[in-house]
Amino acid sequence: MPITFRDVSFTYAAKTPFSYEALKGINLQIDEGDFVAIVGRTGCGKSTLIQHMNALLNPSQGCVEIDDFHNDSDKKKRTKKVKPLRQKVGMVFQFPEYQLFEETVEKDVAFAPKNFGMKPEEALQKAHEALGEVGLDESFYTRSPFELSGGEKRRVAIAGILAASPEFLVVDEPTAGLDPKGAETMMDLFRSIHEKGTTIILVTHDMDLVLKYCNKVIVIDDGEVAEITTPDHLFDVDVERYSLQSPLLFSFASSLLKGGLAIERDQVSDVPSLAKEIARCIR
Amino acid sequence: MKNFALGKYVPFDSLVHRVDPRVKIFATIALLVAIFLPQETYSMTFLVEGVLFLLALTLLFISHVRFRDILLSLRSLWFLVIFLLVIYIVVPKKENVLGIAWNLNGWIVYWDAFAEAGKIVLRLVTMIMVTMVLTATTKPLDLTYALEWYMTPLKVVRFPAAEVAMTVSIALRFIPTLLEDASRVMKAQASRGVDFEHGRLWQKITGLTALIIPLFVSSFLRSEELANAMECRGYDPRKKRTRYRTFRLHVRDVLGLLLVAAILAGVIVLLAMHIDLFALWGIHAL
Amino acid sequence: MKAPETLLEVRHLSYGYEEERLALDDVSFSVNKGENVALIGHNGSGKSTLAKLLMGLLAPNEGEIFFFGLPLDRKNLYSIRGQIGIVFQNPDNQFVGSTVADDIAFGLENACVPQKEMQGIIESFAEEVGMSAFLGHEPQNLSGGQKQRVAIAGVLAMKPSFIIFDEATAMLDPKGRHEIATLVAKMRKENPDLTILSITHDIEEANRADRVLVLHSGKKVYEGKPDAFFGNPEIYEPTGLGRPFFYQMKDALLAEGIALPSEVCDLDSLREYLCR
Repeated sequence: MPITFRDVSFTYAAKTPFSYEALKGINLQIDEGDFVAIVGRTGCGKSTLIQHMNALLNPSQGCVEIDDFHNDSDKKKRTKKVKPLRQKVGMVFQFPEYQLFEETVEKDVAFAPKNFGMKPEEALQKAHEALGEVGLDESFYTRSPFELSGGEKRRVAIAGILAASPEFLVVDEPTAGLDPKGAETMMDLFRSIHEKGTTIILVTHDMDLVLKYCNKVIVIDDGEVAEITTPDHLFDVDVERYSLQSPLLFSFASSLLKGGLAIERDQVSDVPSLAKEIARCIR
Repeated sequence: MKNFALGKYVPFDSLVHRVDPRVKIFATIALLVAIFLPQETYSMTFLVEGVLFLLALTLLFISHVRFRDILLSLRSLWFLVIFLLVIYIVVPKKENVLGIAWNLNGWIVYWDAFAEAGKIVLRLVTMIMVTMVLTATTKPLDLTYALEWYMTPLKVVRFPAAEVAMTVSIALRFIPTLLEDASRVMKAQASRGVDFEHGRLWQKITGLTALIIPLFVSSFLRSEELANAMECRGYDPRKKRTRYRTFRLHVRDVLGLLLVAAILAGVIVLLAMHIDLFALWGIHAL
Repeated sequence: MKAPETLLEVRHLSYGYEEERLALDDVSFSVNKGENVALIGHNGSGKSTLAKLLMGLLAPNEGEIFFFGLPLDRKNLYSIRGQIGIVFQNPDNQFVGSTVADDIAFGLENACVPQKEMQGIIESFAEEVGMSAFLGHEPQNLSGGQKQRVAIAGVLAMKPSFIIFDEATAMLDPKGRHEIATLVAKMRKENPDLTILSITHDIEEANRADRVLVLHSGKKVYEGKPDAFFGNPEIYEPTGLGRPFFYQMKDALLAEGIALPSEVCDLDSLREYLCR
């Protein structure tokens, strides 16, 4: 059950002098089991794109198919019930800690499953499971979410999405504002969620994350799909053209190439492999 | 929200936009007084109101306010027009000078009813248009500064005019930011299964708390950080500060002021001296 | 040689609500004129507490802070704040004015700069940060990087001798981060006396600083050149900080049997060394 965009366009404030076409004829597919990155400069249309995946936005033209849900520009063809879709496609926005509101952590996490029709005890059970998944133990259950540290709050917020057992998880810049260590633990969390069978769609600027975690990259530029490729092939793509910073590993390897070192591009995937290539060239 | 035309600033650099906001505030008040001063006869009332209406229309035209926006802001007046007509028809005045419009089996409707309703509607329309000139051509911030200038004398009685103005200008500055916050939280909660449109009352209430509490939390955080930043940049409400934005009256401002003063004076003179222009010209009008 | 002029001196600073676990525990350091010092540490290391203490927003339990030889206390607070500039993390929450020009003017107004001089000052510093074309723009129409540049212009307009960047790039995208890094490099080149204390968790940025100051669990664990910190696993590993790419590369090369000579100290020199 992939997510499929068929010729999707979206215009903000249509039919006004301020109208702005954020997406132009997007065609793409996200398969089950993917850990896909959506990258592009600020304002390229990434966030507009992901909001089509759980019908927070409806396309101005074209259709997004998620399983049996049709998010169509034509109201008549659009699936009416959006709740099952929102349950299926979990959405973690940037700085999700700002969506906490309940008195206790467990209540906040149980909010989504309850909204999706689970019985209170069942929802609480789910909440506890989700909290365990993000690495928060029982001592957190009855604490107020507002007295936690920034990193813990973010985990609670993410648990609040996981508790609804989504099949797809869309995460927008989950490492923003975290220190390097915190960012790594956060990404490892998404990796483990992915290994348990959830498809992950990661929106980010950080090409190092893309390289380390993803199996597919979609580059969006000016509302259009500019590239669909795998992280390994990013080496061949001039990402700076899309105002992205190429991973330090690749930019350094490229500079060595330019300097005359005959490095084999497809041998380089991380720091040790680059070192190995350098050693081979020097000897 | 999108149809909220009254009070919306129209970014343009017209003559009216360039007039000093203090002059515009004074002019608006003066014109409003002129509009609501009663004249003695219907003919004089409609003449004066008509001139003011045309003046307001001209100003709106100069300010590049779109005709559609004017109509939009006047749209809600329709109810009032019908309501007033019904009132005046059902409860006629004691003295009616314009004669009988029709007589249906003893139920007499006078022309005066229409004239009275028309008078009030014309006044309201002109009033809305005059205030629209002010809000369409003056940035909210300039309005704040101008109001602060008018409040300056109140400093004698320890009224914190500068602080009030600073508060208002910061509030204006943060409206777009807070709207953005609100839309973000709404989308996040909608993704967690909140239905802000349908659902039972109880669900709507929880939906609302899920929106309002996060908004409060982030606004408090913002205000704390903002206060820190202001303090670190040397802001002290008790200290004297200079001002980047100051007003200097230009020739156009003085001319505008004189024009408006002349209009108001003219209307007052007509009223005070019981002048009927139509009679002066030898026309007998009611 | 003249002894370096000390602009900031922190002596035995402690702060915390609980005796047993202080947010900041007996921290001392100093910053000299013209230096670029990076303060690093993971979340909860005491970094932001130290920042608030330096800005006079919190009062220490123990210890003293001296700016320009003056103790940071009630009496000196305003005059010291007039000479230091601070760029905060959140671009929105430090934008006071309703337009770019108004925001740059805010500090000038507070310092009672005569109105006649303001326009010239505003224009020249907007130019300095490359925001001349945006003077009339409102904050909601600017990118994060642009807002931070405006904040820097507002700070520079006050002609400070000392600037604190409090995680000023943490909320920016790579493009914004790059804009700010380029601008700061330019500022330092134009004014060698400009002193910068940058609180950051961008380790690549820290690696470019003259000196790093590392906090861990409220205590200072390192103060000195970046290479001696990142090059020494015994010191950096317990702090849980990431490593700059250069040091990762250096270690990986060593594992392949390539030992680098000591003059190879950054990516540029490494590239030259390998490609020679």
